Amino acid sequence: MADSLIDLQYEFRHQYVSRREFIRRATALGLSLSAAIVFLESCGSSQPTTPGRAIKMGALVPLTGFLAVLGPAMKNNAQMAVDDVNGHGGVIGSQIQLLFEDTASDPNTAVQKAKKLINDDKVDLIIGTLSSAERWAVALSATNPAKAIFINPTYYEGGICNRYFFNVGAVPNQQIEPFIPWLMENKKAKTFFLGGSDYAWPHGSFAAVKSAVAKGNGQIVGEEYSPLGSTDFSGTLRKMQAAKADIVYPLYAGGDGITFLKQFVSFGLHKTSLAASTALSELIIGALPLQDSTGWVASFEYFMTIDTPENKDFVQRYQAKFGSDAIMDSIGEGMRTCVELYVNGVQKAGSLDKEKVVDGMKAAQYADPKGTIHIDGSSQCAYLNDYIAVVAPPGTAPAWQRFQIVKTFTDVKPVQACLARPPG
Amino acid sequence: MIRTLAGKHPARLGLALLGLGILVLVLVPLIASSYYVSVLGEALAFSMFAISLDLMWGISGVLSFGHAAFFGIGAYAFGLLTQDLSGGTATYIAVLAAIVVPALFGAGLGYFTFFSGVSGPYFAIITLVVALILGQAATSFPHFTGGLNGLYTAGLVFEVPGAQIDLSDVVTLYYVALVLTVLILFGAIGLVRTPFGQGLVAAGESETRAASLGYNTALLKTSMLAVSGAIAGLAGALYAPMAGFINPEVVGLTLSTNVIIWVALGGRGVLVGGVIGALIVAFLSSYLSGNVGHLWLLALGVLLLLVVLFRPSGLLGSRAIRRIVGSA
Amino acid sequence: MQQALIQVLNGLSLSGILILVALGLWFIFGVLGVINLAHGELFMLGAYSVVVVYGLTGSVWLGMILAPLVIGALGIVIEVSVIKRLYERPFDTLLATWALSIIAREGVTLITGGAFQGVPAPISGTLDLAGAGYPLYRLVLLGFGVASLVAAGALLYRTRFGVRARAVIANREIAGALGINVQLTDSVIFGLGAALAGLAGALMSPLVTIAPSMGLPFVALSFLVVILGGLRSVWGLALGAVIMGGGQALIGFFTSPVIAQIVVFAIAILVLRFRPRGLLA
Repeated sequence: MADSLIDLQYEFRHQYVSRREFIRRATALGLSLSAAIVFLESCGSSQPTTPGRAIKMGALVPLTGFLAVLGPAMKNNAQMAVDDVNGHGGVIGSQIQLLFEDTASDPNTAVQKAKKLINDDKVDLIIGTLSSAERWAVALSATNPAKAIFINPTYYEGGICNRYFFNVGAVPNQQIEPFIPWLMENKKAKTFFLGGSDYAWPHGSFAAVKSAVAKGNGQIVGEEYSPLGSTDFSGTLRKMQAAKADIVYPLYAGGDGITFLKQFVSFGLHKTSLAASTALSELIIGALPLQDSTGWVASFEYFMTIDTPENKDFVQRYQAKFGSDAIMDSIGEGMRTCVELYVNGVQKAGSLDKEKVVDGMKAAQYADPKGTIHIDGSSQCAYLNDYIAVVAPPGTAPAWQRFQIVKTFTDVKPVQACLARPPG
Repeated sequence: MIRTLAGKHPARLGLALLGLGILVLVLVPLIASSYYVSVLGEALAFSMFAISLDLMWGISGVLSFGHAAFFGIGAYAFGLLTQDLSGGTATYIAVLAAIVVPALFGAGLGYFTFFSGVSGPYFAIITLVVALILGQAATSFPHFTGGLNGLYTAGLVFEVPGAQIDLSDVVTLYYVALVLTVLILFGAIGLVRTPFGQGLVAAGESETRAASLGYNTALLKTSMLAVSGAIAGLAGALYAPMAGFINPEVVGLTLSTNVIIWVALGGRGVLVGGVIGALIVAFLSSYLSGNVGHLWLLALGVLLLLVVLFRPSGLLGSRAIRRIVGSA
Repeated sequence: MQQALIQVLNGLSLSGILILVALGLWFIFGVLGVINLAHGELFMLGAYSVVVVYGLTGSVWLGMILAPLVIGALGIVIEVSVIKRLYERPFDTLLATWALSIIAREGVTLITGGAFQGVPAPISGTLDLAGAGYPLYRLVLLGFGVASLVAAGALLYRTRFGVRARAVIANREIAGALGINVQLTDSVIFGLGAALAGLAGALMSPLVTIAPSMGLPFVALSFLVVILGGLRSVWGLALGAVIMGGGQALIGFFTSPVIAQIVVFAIAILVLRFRPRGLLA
């Protein structure tokens, strides 16, 4: 049997094209070419320059691909924030028009879409991107060269510095530096095992974790990176078992995070080590069986359970609009912060002129469900609160309500070193 | 039959149609926005890549399931050698490396496989695994390759006597891609018509028959793999400044299987089929995304299935056209 | 010592999983000579079957029993409608099955919206090994792997159907001339291979995140297992699985999962080159 495979023979079907068939095909080709030309010509709009014109806001979100589970919350929040603004008459008389593009969880696609938004749709700014790979690619290949305003909504490892780039997500000194000492003190944690996906965000974040642990005289007993898309973490889990760490700190991207945690639980490791990380969000916990995640600790700049009247009202309105079981995490809510930052910048500038708006954004100050936002002029990142939450035992309430905030660090100033390239 | 329509010169008709197509492509940047020009430019780089695959598959009868390995090696070679330099001889060396390194890799791979009688589906699987290994390596050695973050190619310039070609200008890159693709296409057709090419066509139809006629099929196939690798590497080097950014996707399984789809749909064994397939499919794939993108991919899968079942030669892979090219 | 034991178990359970996935492929490749690139998607659909059944009835076990039946039937449909037409064109079966895999992946993405799913393990709990726990469920999987190997061997060597199948493997034309219904055997074998893939997916479903692309990593691995072991016998398959699974675990023990994967792939290529008929040929 195998012999006939090695000795392969092709048989091409012999097709003859009749004259009629040929004319038909040529006509079809001609028609489609003409249609294509007409179509291409109609694309590409130009920007009117009179005030009162619509503001075009491009939004890059992962609607497909391995990060798609986090996409809808981003899209919904951007939409709701824009609807709120437009409902109040827009900003300086201009309505905002949102243009969503799917990054497909892929940096190449993200860059292409960013270029399309900038060059073709002539947007006034871009908000979004989720993974650090997408973010760096868009910044370095699209928005920086084009001097286009780019606002990032989510926590990341930091490092992008550019006059037109603003970040309203937490950087490590806001999300990790308060977190580690808290863990060491309140959870009596001395030893840490770090496990993550093999790219910029885990590498950059773990660098911050290691330095914080060293400052607290703790010890890193393991650090292991797995390829994206891994389905089996048994080797890493065995090492974690052997190391008997107090804290296991997983930073696996997207679906890998869920896979890892499931296997973590299946090894019974959750009984001997505490899972704590800056990736355990409402969307991740929700995908696991309820009782397994009890006691786990997370640190973010936003939780749905933040106990202020503003946030409660916001969550209520969000669920009224998108469904009573609609949930979001800090990445999703961050999109709202992006929209509000731009709006604030325009208000302060009193015009849509890009340079004036950028200066306006640097001086922005406004209320957001996660607290009051103001921008640090040198890093162009936001001052943020850091919330540390513990997952309460399951009850009758929906999963997202189990995050009990146990500590709040208010108004932490962002500190970041500028990098020319993403950390490897 | 085409012959009756074309009279005594089917090749002339084919040439005329080709000329028309090229003319249309030349005119595109005059009427389309820069986004579409950049997408079409990338599609042209992919067409060159498709030509390289068809040389192995449609012409020589060897299916490579990991052909993006060559494309990606070319792209990375170009990217790495131009990392901290923006002009001068660096770009020349980078382009040269992008051609030579994949060619050597192809020669090595060919020697490793064809000379031991490994071919057919086993060769396809080996190339599949090679693509997987390279994709993994590109992701996991970030100090070398930039990992998942990739390498950036902003601000490059290519110097030719008397001028400087700005490699970050979309329209310039588009025309460079168009010129190169046309040259490679005609070069490849010419190659097929040489005794070297004809020997491969024979080997593709029946290895044993060709061997019995005295052809060293292993040597022929290895040489063609080197040529194919060189062309694919050049396509990769062309793609790099267009995307502005090189990441493991350029060596991986997705691109390897996409190029097979382009050639399968556009037409095997005619070289220009891969060009058409790449232009249409790659362009539409960028244009459609989100949930429409999934619908589009589904439709593509169905189309591929139907083509394989009922018209395996693809859109342009008819015998008449293959005669013009010299592969039948 | 305890760590070594656990790593051995890791290696074995990995091998057990690989055996399950590769066994179906072995039947299809070995008996029919078809390279089924949609094998990973049959695996994925098996996992999704469990999700659906679990969603409807709350029982994971029921899902695991129904999955192979459903996917096996699907396999027969595929064989009759697509594969049968392509036996004379091996490259085209590659393409056609790849097309089917695209259709399956995109179809599931469109239907489920690409959200990740999960099901709980029917057996939770760990085996206590001198202080460290080892998931019981993985040991169950290992058991399933071995059992299915034995069952496959029994099917081929102890049943009349097995005799017919082996005759078809040896020589299709003469088997047909002897009165064996080759068409029927083909369909049954393909259905059996698909059912095995579906069973593997169903059994794996509690361990991993269930997503439309979950089958892709398994396709490459299972092909390598089949080729390493050779097409002569199912024991070759076991050997291939142990080498791939055990090798990955062993190398991962000393280095990292990333390097382990690269090295194992490289070894597979070398074997493919030097012993294309498999290690036991």
